[in-house]
Amino acid sequence: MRRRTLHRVTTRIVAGLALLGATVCATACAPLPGGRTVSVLATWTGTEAEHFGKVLAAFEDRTGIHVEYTGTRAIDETLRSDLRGGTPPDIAILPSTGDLAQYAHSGDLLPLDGVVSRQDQYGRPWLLRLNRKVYAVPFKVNLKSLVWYDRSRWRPSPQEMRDPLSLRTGGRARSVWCLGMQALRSAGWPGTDWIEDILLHQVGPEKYRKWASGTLAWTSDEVRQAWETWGRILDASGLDRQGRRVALLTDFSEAGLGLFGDPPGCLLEHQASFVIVTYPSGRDVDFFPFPSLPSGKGGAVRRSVVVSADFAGMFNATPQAKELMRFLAGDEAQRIWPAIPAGAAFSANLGVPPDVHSVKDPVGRKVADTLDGAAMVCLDASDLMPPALRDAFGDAVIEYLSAPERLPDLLTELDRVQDRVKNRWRPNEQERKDLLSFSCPGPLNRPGRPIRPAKPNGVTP
Amino acid sequence: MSTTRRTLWRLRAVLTVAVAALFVTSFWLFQGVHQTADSRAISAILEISSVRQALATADRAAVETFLGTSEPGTPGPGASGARAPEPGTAEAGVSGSGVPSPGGATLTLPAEQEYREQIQTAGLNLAQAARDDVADDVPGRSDDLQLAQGMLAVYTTLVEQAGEHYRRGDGTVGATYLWGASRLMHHDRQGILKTLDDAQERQWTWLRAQFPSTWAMRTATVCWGLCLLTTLALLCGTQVFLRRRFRRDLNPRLLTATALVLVLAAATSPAYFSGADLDEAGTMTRRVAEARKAGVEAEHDYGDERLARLLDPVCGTPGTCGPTVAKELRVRSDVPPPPVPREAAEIREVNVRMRDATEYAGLVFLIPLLSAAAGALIWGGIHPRLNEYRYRPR
Repeated sequence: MRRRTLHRVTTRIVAGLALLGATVCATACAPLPGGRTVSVLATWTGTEAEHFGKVLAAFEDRTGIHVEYTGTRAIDETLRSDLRGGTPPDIAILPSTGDLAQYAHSGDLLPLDGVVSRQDQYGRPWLLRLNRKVYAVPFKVNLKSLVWYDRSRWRPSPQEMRDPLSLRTGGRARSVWCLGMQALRSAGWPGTDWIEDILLHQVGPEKYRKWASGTLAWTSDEVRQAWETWGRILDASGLDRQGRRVALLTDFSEAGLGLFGDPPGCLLEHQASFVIVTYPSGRDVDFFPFPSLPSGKGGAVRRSVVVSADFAGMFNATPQAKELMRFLAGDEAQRIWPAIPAGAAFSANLGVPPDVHSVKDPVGRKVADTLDGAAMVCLDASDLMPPALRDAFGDAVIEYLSAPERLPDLLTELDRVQDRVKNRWRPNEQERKDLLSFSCPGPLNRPGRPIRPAKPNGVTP
Repeated sequence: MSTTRRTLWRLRAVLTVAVAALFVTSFWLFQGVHQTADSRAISAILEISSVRQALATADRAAVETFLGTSEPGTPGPGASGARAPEPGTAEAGVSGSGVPSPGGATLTLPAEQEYREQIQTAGLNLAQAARDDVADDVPGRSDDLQLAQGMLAVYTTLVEQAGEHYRRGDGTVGATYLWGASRLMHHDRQGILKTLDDAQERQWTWLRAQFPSTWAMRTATVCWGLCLLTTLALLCGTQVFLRRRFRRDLNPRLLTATALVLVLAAATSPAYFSGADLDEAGTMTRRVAEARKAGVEAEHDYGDERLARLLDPVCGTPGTCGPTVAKELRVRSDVPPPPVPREAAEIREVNVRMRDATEYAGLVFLIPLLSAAAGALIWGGIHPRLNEYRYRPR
């Protein structure tokens, strides 16, 4: 009888302990809200996705949080459809700050104040600020005002580097400029980069700011002059009618391959720093910064550059998303990609010096030095524009390349689109000011580098 | 406790466990098959393959429209959506998207009509596929169908822009947009058709991970068979024991329980017929998907040959359209016209098989009912004998 009682008591104790263990485990082992994962959407695929994967791997190693990464060139459609379906990614990294501003305005993009605590890691204008709240941080910067060439095929003279209108093929190639306007879903943007560079280098950052923020008309003398200058540069370089048509049908990532032909198909390519990844490895490529251009009304504008940047913004404020945002904004994460040889990534984080680029990557180091040495850095104006205007800009480039005589009509049409866009989203006074200062954030001013004196309008003499 | 009482007690316990195990394995087997059959994965696969075929046909039809009517004044696909005709132009008074004929009446080009029909079909099927998508938990993009919908909107806009420029007589820019649209459709890594292909593959991956295609089906079958044989053997053994020990005829309650176990086995066995139907439906669906894939390739080849004819005059001389056209446009001589799709009969067969596969799903209620009844009868059959030995030490 005593044995039976003992047995019953023992059984109850074991059962109780098991129940307690199960309860403890259920409480302690339960995943955090939203699970231990964070979803990230960005444009990088192929080699670029591999490079970004190294950044994410460092985050996973450090935190144990799993990152679900999706890379697609159709990021605008993807993000829009995700938002429509109520399932946005936790974090999206996209180049179009115009879209980010609209998402912030609509409340889809969440403020980062309190998430990214060390905002002093960036020069103040480099953070996308609207209504005194920070919404996005630059993760990867691409320098756009660059002209690439293959040193083993041809080296431009200093005069040719200074004056693009003087460039001639001299029988060395069919055309001076490698040109490709196709992109999978947004044709024309390589041409918009040309117009932006020419405008900035002709009339300076103040006019550029006004144009980028929609307060300088497309039909203004300054903007028209930029388009006409592009036309003259192409005409002078020997790009004939058929060459223009080929440019309309050629993908931007394949246009530059003409540099490496024997004989070369073209001698120079105006393209951003990220184009390095599309060039064949082992080639002796170099670049010179886009030259200053004299405008009809004044002298040339010096040492200003256009950049594009991929900005990281948060769409779901989960603890994991906040953790990843903090990591991406910090200098540890921002050093990883630039340190990859020929990774073609640059950072606006003040804690990431140019020498983070490997000695095996002299071109990358030179791009970083050019970026650091710029007196004024302006963001790609088309990325700042609302999507409808950005698309219309790309369409106008295509039409202009096909029929330059239509320029007045195209500019009038762009003004009309700008008016329509303004009617759809009217930024308030504060938002307008924020976007205006954001369009040309200024020099990087990294610690330890001399800060150049700048004129009030931001132009360094 | 007496030996007989202990044996009876143990027999009852073992039989209870055996019936419970039989219930679990029967339910696992039956529901595993029928839940997969009830899912919409097969439908989603068929719909996605239909969308791919419709879009490939639409892209070819769009090119054919412009190839046949690239002279000024012809609107082409989507022109009506691009811009309303202005009064006084050739299109004034023409409703819809037709091409004005010399007599003033409208005439819709067959290729243009085909483009519109196929885009509409694709849009409807894509929406249905998004509703039937079951593979949310498969690694990869779970919203690729939404992405395809977004990209399709970009595609139709590009075709509309091409139509607008052809209408104005600007064949160069028209061809540029048409080339851009075709690239967006067929790009081997990021095109719409590739995105849909990924979505379809996700459904297959989901199906391959479901009960009927995995080790679980084999394991459940073996376990179910063992449980069934063990239960029957135990029931027979108990009858023999009771007959010897108590010198009585067969125990009627245990006999009824045995009959119910046999009925339970019969009620579970349709899972195998349903599984076979599901297998067959899967095989047929794969055949349909493969045939449609071949159809998409044929449309692509034919469309590329047509697109090359459209682009060559733009470039001036054939083969001088630059590296991207040379790389991506698949131009072959003597490309036959794409075959007319003939999968309708097979798709009907797939639907019949899927209906058959779910026909017995409603019998699931019998499994717990029969198991509970058999268990109760076993307890009821043994309990009186146990009572007889309650106070009889031996």
